[in-house]
Amino acid sequence: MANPLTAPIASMGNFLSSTADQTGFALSLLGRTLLYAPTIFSRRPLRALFRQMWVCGIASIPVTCIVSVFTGAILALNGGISLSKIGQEALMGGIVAVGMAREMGPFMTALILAASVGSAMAAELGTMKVSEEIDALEVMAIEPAKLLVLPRLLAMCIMGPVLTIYASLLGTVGGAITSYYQYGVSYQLFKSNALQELAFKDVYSGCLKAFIFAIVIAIVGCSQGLKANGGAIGVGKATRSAVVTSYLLIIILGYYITFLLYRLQW
Amino acid sequence: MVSTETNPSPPPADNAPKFDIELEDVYKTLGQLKVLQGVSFQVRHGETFVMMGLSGTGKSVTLRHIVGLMQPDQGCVKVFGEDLSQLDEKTLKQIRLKIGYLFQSGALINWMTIRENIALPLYEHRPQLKEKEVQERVMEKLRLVNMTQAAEKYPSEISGGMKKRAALARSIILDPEIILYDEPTSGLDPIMGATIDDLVNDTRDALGVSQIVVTHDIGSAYRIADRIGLLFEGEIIALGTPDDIRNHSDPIVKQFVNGESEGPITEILEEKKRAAQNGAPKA
Repeated sequence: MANPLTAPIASMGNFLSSTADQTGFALSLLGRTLLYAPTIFSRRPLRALFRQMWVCGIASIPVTCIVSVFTGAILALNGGISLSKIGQEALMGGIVAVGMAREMGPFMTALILAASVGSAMAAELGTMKVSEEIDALEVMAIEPAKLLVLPRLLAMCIMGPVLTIYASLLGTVGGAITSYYQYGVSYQLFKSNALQELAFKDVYSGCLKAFIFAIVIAIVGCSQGLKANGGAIGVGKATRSAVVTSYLLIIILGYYITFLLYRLQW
Repeated sequence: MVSTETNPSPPPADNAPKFDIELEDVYKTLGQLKVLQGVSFQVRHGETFVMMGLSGTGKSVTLRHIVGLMQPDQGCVKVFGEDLSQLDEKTLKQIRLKIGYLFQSGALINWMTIRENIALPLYEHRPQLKEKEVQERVMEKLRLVNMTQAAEKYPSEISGGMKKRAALARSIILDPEIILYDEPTSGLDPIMGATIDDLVNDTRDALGVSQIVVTHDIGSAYRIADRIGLLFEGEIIALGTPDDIRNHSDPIVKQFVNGESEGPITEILEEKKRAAQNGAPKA
């Protein structure tokens, strides 16, 4: 019978210990995977990379389209409410374009990828783990980091920023349409203001965020999958945990990257 | 305490037999469950050793120790004379390349065709082979297990027996010196079970390998074993040829071999169940 006084401490200890264990495993997985990076440039691993790029990138386009267009539209709708009060609707282009490029593009893309691709990675690898396929690879002296994690990680690192640029553009288009129909801002005015306000730093900070989020999503998804145990329930837990952990890290890291780039002016 | 037949005394050192696998007093606890409690046996080169026992007695755990997927809490596991716990990762991989492991479920990679599954170890460990040579070797192994017709199918498209045969082809693709089989006939009909038994015997004859087969199919054990070890309560309680086991005097061995529902095994298990209900630690 657990002591009611010490149980919360024990529970906190277990949580910290399990978090440290997961973090250590994920970081060591990242390190091991990067060691195998040069091996991607041969025929079979390249095929696996292209397959994963299809899964991460092309298959995610429809949902990214819808989410980003509406995100841009929401930005414009909300921004317009305040700007129209002071007669500054002309600034809508800059607000939407910068907002999408810096924050909403990478953020929304990362959330989509974490929910769709990161969870799929955890489920796929988790199923392989509980059905002994990962053990079989180890017994055949084949490193799962090389065969399974490397193509997923690289595919995410390539397709994450690409999708983010695409989402930012579409979001800006969504914002332009909303600005035109809701506040009467012409497309020409919207475009010129957007180009005037948008700096190169906004684009590269968005791409940098997308790249870091891609690493987080792939490594969290793969490491949770590879640590899965206990059959279907274990796979379910790993998948849920991959999505929750990725979301938390995306939000926290997103804040700190913005802080470093724009407050500390790195 | 259950009666234990000890391993045959080792012969003098000068003509000592070559053991490919040696387990010395291996203990393993998983959670609170004491799975292995001093397991010791050796497998000679070219021998087929069958490990039998009730479900959950640690047979698969023992196999996992032999490939280094698990480390003993106490005791020593040696393969080709090397203590696995003392090896670095690279040397362990070298040892694993000499071992084929047939998992109970087959453990074929489900997004690869049978041909790709079997070729996978060759692509990884024989990069110097040309594609044509890889495919020739794959077809050779597929012919050995009579599976050429399913080469382009995915694991989800074939039956359980075919999966086991395909997995066997994959486990022998690198021409291992040891093959471990985890329940190769479980879930199969008797004819497919006998076919797998024939494959186990054929593989030994064709490749001259040492084999450990984990099963609780007594008929299968008699067909393929050079020696049988019976694992009970975390220990090997009987060890000998199929005839030794068939004629064993120990009541536990007798009950297991004859598949009787009443006897000392049932009593021990019921006693454990009662103890667990009363809060005693599992053993």
